[in-house]
Amino acid sequence: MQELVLIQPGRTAEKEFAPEAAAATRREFEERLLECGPLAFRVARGVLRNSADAEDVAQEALLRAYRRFERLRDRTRFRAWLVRIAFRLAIDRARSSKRREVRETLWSESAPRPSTEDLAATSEFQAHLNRAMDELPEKHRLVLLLAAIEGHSVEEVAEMLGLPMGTVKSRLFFARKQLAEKLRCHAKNIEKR
Amino acid sequence: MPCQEYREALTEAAATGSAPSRELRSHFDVCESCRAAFSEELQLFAAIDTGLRAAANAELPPSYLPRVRASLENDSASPGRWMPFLIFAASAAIVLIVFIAARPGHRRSNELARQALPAPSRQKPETSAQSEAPGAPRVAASSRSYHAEARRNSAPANFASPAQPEVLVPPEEREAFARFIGSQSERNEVLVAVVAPAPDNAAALLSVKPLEILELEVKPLEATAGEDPDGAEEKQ
Repeated sequence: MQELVLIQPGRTAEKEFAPEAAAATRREFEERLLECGPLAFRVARGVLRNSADAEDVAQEALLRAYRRFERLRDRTRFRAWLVRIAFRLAIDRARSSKRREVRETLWSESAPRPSTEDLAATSEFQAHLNRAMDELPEKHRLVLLLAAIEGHSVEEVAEMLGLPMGTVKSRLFFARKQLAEKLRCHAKNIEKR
Repeated sequence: MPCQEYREALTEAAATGSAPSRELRSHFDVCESCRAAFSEELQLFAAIDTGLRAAANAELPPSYLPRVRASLENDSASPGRWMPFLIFAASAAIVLIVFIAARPGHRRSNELARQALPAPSRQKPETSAQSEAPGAPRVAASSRSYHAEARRNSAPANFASPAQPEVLVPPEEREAFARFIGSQSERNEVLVAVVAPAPDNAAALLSVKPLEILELEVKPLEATAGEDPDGAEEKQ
């Protein structure tokens, strides 16, 4: 009597090719890491203005991107996708550290003071600029940041964010104008000295 | 045209970085203050751009990429991201089971029931039944057989070891049952009746003697005639 056996060819093939597919994904991600890794760090650094925190955030963003990399259909959108993840994580980190700062200022008598090196490195104008940046709407801030990073053109920023060039231009204009309004008096004060 | 009306246009030109319009340029030729204002605006935007670029293009720490690669390696090598959650869920389930099994009410009612009954015999039921006096309650043997019988009928969840005496009582009636047994402890005969030994042989409980049907015997009616002599006389 002939014995019938149910064979599932799909499963076998999947098992055989799963490690190869994983290795290919890893290789592809490695290429993206070299290309976009610095951008993720700089976006986070632009929001947080602290290299250590930015490193943590960028690492987290890349890890998240890696975990969902296979689900990304259009791999050419990776750069924009990573930028958004890094920016969102950095904003969250900045908010939570701001809350922590408020708590520490309220409860501790001796809040940590910036070192002499920090004071020297951060000019007065830069400090005002940072504060003004923090007050910008998120969508304006992201455009401004991306335009400043690695000398991206308006076209590149538009492509990265998937926005029309006109939208990017107008956001950039309003962001710069807002910054100028906030910094005008400080610029004059600094010039007078 | 007053200078105030050119302010917006000169700020816009400075912000966009585009060359001022012809109208604006002609105004600059005649208005020193607007020219100075435009120059200030250009300086301001240049300072903003410099500050932004300085903040945005920080040097990459040398540890950054190796650290990211290491974290990716760890993520790939780890058995699963859900493993910690699974471990947590499993341990939580174990704790819950232990808590339910060892909760005070449950233990107390069990202890009360045990205290009410005589000490369990560790011997085999047959031995204990033989060695004990006829008046003493043979709880071990009886309860075990009852337990065995109950297990056949239902599947209770929390049995102790088979060597221990057990009486199946619904949880809500355990305390009352224990009190009843305790109050009857001095009256041995009642206790014996309550925990009366059930026969070890379960089949004995259900055994019914088979019906015996005797064969029918058909007898002639001679005897009937003999019995009734008056009738015979009537025939004659």
